[in-house]
Amino acid sequence: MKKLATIFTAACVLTAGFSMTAAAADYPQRPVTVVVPWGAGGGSDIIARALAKPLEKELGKPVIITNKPGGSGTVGTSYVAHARPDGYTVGLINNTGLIHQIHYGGLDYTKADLDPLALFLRVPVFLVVNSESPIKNVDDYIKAAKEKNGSLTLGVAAVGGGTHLPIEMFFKAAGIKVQPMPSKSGGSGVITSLVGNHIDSAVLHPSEVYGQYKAGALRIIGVLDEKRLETYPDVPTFKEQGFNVTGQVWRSFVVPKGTPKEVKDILVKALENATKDATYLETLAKLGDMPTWMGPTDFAKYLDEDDAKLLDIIKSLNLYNKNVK
Amino acid sequence: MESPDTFGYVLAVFRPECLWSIFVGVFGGTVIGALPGLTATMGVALLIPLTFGMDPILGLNMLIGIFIGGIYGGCISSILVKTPGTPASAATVLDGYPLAQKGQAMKALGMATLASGIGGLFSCVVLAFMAPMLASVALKFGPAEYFSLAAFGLAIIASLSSDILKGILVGCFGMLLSTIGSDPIGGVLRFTFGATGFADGVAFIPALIGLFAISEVMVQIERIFEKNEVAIKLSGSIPNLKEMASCWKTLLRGSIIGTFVGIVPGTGSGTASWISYSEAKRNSKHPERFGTGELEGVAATESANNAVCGGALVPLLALGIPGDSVTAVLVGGLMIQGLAPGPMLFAERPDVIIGIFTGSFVANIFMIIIGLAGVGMFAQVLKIPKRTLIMAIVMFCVLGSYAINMNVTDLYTMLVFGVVGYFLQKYNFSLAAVCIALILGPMAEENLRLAYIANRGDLTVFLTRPISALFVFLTVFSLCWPIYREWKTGKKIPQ
Repeated sequence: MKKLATIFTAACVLTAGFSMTAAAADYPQRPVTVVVPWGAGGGSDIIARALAKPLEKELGKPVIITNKPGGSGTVGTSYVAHARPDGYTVGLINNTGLIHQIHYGGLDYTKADLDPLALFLRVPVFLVVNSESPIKNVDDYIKAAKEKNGSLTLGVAAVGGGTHLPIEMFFKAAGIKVQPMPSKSGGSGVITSLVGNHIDSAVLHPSEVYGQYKAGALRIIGVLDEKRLETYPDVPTFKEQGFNVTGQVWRSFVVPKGTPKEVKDILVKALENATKDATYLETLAKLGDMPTWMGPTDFAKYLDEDDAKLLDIIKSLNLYNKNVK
Repeated sequence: MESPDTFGYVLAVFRPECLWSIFVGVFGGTVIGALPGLTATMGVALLIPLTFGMDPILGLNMLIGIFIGGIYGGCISSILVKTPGTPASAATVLDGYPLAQKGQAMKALGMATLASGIGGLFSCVVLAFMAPMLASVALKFGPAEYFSLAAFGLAIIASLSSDILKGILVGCFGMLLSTIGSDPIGGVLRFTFGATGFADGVAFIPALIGLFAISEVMVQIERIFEKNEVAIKLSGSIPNLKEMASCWKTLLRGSIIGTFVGIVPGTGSGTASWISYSEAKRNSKHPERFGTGELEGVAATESANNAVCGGALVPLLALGIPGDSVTAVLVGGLMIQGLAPGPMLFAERPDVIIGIFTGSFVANIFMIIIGLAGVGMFAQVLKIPKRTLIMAIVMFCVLGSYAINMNVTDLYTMLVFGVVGYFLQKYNFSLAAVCIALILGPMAEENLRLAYIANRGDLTVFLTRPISALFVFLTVFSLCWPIYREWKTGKKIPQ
């Protein structure tokens, strides 16, 4: 009996060894799972599902989308960080899971537990007011904030979230204080409050404001981007209005730390080609998201830069958790 | 809507391929709804990629079919096995399950189907004829209004508890549980004890499944060991015209409550069915029968939760603002079709708007047909021997609780709530109170604090804003009404 157990164990070890080498050589052998740390039907999820088809074509194996929502993207990110590093678990993670939440503490992973593959998408951020508001541009906004002495309200999907931090960089630069008003229902809750005049201003993504903006219910004060957006040519950047502040939510692909280099190379190549798919790009355009591409090296560098930039603002907002390991 | 093309747009829905996709949607939705843990939200979200390449009328109507079927389907498992398939039908457990245990499953299921249909059709009529007018109501709700609405909902706990003190105690217990997870204002984690899985708080659906289904399984196992099994004899049929007619007030009230709650963003079918249930009980001539298998209780909850569907589509289509979690997902479905939901959609794409109005009508008719055809079949579940049935229920509960977020923490949540629910039942505490507190606790907390921040600590805002004041008045009224009635009739109301 004991002998049998030994043979069995040896067999298991051997198989495991084989599958390790096999994984690197002719990856992929079985379906690849893409973990989306947000609920089905959300922005990340729609992107993932639109990308699944072209990615399947590239990899030659089925791509399975798994939603692991919760904790502002941290539940799913933690899952990826602890998954087996064999290339069969890929995370579609945005900056809140890779940067923001880590500094707020209480998590069981850090940035170092994940290997960056590619940054492939940027979601611009707008500062928006109700069209009945007397605020017409950045200068008006600063004046109004100073007059109200900290009580000018700003709708945000979540305090310390992906839209909130970039705009706080502007507030810091302008030397103003604004009262954030979060909403449990995220962006859709914020826009309801803004159109209903329950808040003075809000930070929102293009897909969230599109319908109401077209109907003339909202005025966009500025976009936190380098250049004006193609779909919103009339909206000036903050830079044009005298404040060199940019920031956006970005989405990226990561794998667990320790994934073999050959596997990562195959994945990066497949992702690069898949993100050029015409149907996928059409979906992006409809959502108002902007395609972009940064490979592993550029992305790793950018991640550190963005982290430093955001950490600065997180500390000044007193959101930084000193107990972070 | 007087466009000469209106008729053509309506007819476009009656193409065979369109009717077929609505039928598939409703049927699939009903199955998804009946399985615990699989909700209408999930069904719609998972099928959105399928509609990428579809004609917008076909694709969107299929999604709306899933929505309507999903909310309805939840009542089937609520009535038969005390497992709410979706949060919308948790209140249906109260009277639906006792009815089924008395052998009246056909009657309960029939009433649930017809009430869902009536509520759904009522809200569709409102949607088609008054959407742009009513949509503005959605914008009137700020933090003050939401808090007062939540307070009104929480007051229901009093009317549902046989012992007021126990009701308040268990309600507070539920509210405390709802504070687990990230703080709604600052995002700081509270009471998670370092478990990432609790970052979003106690997962509501696994908690619900534990509270109702797992605790009931324990009760049944106890009976088996005590050799105290009760065999159910199926009798009766779907409700006749007279029985339906006797409930007309409740059905109408439920439909109105559901439509209204649906229009207010951020609430949902769970809230609507509890409010409707409590109103039906308060207005009933024999409130003591509620909770023991009163057909009117089923009529109240099911008419309300399906009326939410049409109601939630009002702000979605007219303003681009989702009324509940399902319509929030539907926004994605619309965007993918290149249709930005919002005020301009009515002017730019009347074909889509009218197509959706007509489609939701047709979906409700299909729901009634599928429901009535299936009633006899569904009821057969009760013929399965208890021991086998219990195992199947536990299996579905575990699968469903995991499927909702793919999070193992949720399974522990389900188990713990099962044990808690068992003891609460044993000592006569109301499970409904915990459920209501879990739904409305977070809404009350978030909005109380937001109102406080926005008004710099001035709390008179709850009385100076008219809609908020109305709900404050209704809250006080609903709390005082039983006392008044007791005093007037000179006798104690048996609860």
